Amino acid sequence: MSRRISLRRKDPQTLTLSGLDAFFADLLREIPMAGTPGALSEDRLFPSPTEGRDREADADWREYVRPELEEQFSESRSRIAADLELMRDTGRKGFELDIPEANRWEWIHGLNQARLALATVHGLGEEELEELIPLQPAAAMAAFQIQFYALLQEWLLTEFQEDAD
Amino acid sequence: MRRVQNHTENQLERTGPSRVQGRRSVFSGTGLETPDLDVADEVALDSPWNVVVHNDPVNLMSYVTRVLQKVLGFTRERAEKHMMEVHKTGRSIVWTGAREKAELYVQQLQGFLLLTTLERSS
Repeated sequence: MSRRISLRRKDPQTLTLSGLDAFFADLLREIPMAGTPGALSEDRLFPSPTEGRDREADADWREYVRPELEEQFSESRSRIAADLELMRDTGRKGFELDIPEANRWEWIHGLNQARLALATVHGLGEEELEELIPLQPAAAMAAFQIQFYALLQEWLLTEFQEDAD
Repeated sequence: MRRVQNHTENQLERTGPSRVQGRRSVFSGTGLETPDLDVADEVALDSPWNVVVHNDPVNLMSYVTRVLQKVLGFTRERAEKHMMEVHKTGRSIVWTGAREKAELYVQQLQGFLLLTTLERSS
């Protein structure tokens, strides 16, 4: 049975993602882990501010700024993980997830972390993500995961932009 | 906001003394010495710095636009103009000014995972 995934406003404080089957629910559960910095992704998640032109400034950045960024990124992943703990299985209608309005930027940010980390780890660039080129199974799965997260990010941003305009 | 404030304090703490060291030595002396100002340092302090956002194949265009609005206070039109410049040319200078403030913007934009660097304005 196919379900239609949708994001709707449940109340002024809550957005609800519904119509998720077990596969997509699992993809959501992977967001915090996928976005966690690792050896392959940390250069992209914490890039040098001068691209090596000013070693002293880059060293200062690593010492003073990077820990703050790490804390900020970790906070986003933690809030997402806490929201995911409350995801519920409604049976025939699939899984439902409430995203508190207060955590919306954490979600947008966490989805971005995961997308960037996955792309870096699997070496996925514009060509691999936008063209239909053959990929190894793990990279193809990562590309799908990135696109699914992009869809969610876009939905959250669209509503945000409407609020801002 | 709290993190930005913390960073400002860190920045002042770590860069302040080294950058004004020549003048500090004068103030700590008798007060009659000739200030040992390094002209090159003075120029470096005053010359503007650019905050540059670089293209990234993963960040969504709508996301980049929204972040530029949020961090730099751009209108949607201005943010979209910079986003398109990044998309088409690979980079866009989104702000130019004093180094301390430029560093804060780089931190904030990197905080949103935009590929952002700092460079001296030519």
